[in-house]
Amino acid sequence: MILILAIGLATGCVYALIAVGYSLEYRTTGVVNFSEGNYVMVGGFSTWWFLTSAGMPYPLAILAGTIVAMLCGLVLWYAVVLPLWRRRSPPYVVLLGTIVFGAIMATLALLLLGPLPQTLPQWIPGFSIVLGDSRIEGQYLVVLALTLLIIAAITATLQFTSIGREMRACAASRDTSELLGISPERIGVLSFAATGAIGGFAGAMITPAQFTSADVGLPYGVFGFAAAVLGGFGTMRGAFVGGLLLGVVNAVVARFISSNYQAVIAFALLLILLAVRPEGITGKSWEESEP
Amino acid sequence: MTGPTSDATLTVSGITKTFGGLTAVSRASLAVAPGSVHGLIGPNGAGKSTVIGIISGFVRPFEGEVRFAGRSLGTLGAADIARLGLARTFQQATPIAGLTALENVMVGMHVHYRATVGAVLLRLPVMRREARAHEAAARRVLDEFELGADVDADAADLPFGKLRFLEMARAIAMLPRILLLDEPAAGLNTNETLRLEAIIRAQAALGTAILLVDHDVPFVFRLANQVTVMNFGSVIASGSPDDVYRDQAVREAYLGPARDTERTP
Repeated sequence: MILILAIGLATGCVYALIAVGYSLEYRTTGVVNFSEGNYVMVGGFSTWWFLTSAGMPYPLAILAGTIVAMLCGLVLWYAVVLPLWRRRSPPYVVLLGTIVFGAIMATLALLLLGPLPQTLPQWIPGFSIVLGDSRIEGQYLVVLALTLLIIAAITATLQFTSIGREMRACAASRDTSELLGISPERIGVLSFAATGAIGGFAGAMITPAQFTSADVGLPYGVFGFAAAVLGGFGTMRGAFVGGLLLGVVNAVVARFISSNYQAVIAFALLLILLAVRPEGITGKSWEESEP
Repeated sequence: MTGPTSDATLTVSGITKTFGGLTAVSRASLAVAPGSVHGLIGPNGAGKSTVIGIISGFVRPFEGEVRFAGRSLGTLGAADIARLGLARTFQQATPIAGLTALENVMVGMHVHYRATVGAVLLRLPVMRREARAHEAAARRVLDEFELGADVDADAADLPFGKLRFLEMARAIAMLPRILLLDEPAAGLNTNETLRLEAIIRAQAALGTAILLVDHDVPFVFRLANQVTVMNFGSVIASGSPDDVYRDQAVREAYLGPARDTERTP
């Protein structure tokens, strides 16, 4: 049971980090980016390539993998979102653009890195802890600790730096911030790059505990989105709570019921919860939070 | 602050804007010199707000041009125009909810930040010095505006009068070269209106070109060096407050005979 909890929490961390990206991009630019799960795939998969094929030292490979995912975020912004934005395309067109971009990332990964699932070594070799009669791999703890650290760092950046202030201003009111000289396009670049990097790092982090392959992006994206909605779309706290909850529910369902029904049951729970609390677990009501 | 050169004059020439067949502004022109207050008055629907929207870059005119600092603002977005030195306030105050009063003012000051993204994220000393200096300046402005006790309040929670002054503080902290004020006195009591007047005078004395739109005609006439009157989208009179006051067309179209006695010298 403890092992299942550990697996659930670690996967939940990845959902949480994806949810953070959804929130960041949605709040600052109004774009829901459905290619986000693929940053996790790109981050994990390219780290594997940098480590095994390019022969980089492990920490450098992780950094390179994160940067590749960040570049994917930037390409999406400059090549897809920005041109659509400038033409004042409706949100559903932008949404479709991000889905197509995600599919392109998955296809490229398949072509360049192959169809086989790959994994990475533990970040701290030989580290594991024994709780009761279960042995928990150290990587799960690494993921949990680093996720907490990343979310704390993002929260602090948003709260205490001038750039964070600009992003919060842009999230609260894009028109007013524009009058104050804050360019929404600049904020867009920042949040898309940050989201790419966060997703990529999450991928590099979770791959040693699980595996990665060209097709894991979509499910990650969907579960991350569900986590964001579940927690309360648009808040860091909501992303974290929603991610962990969904991760644990998934792991428990997979272990005790069936991994085939994992998604169905998780989403049924999501629907029930949203029927009771439409604004998500930690979210404010829509009237309060809408600018 | 730049000196009063003709280059720093805000020039609006022949702007026209129609919304779905309805002409909001028709070939309107005006010029605001640095260090002066230009009053823009007219009945509801005269096109005053559209003029302000066009100058600040939110509304694109069909015809005509807005020039400032030697360049046409036509192709620039609102954020670029703000960075050129334009600040504005709204009829309805627009605090950024979720940010404190202090943060609201500091966000406006970002137009003068020089630290790059990297420097900010790495918390380099140059960035920290800059941030400290800006915070001190923001606190000073808020103190001057009698908002010293509210620096940490969520801007959205401030009462109406304070919001108006917060918005003024935010605009003035941007060290604007042009300041557009849309109905700044609406809803303020006599005391607050007097404070507002002093603030506007002081800002003009610093060399800012101020365009003042308000329904309170005596308030505008007390402050303005030049007045432009609009009706049905067109400029019907412009000149010194005295000339405009004597203008027959203005009296008929806008001031009306009943308002005669209201004028304060």
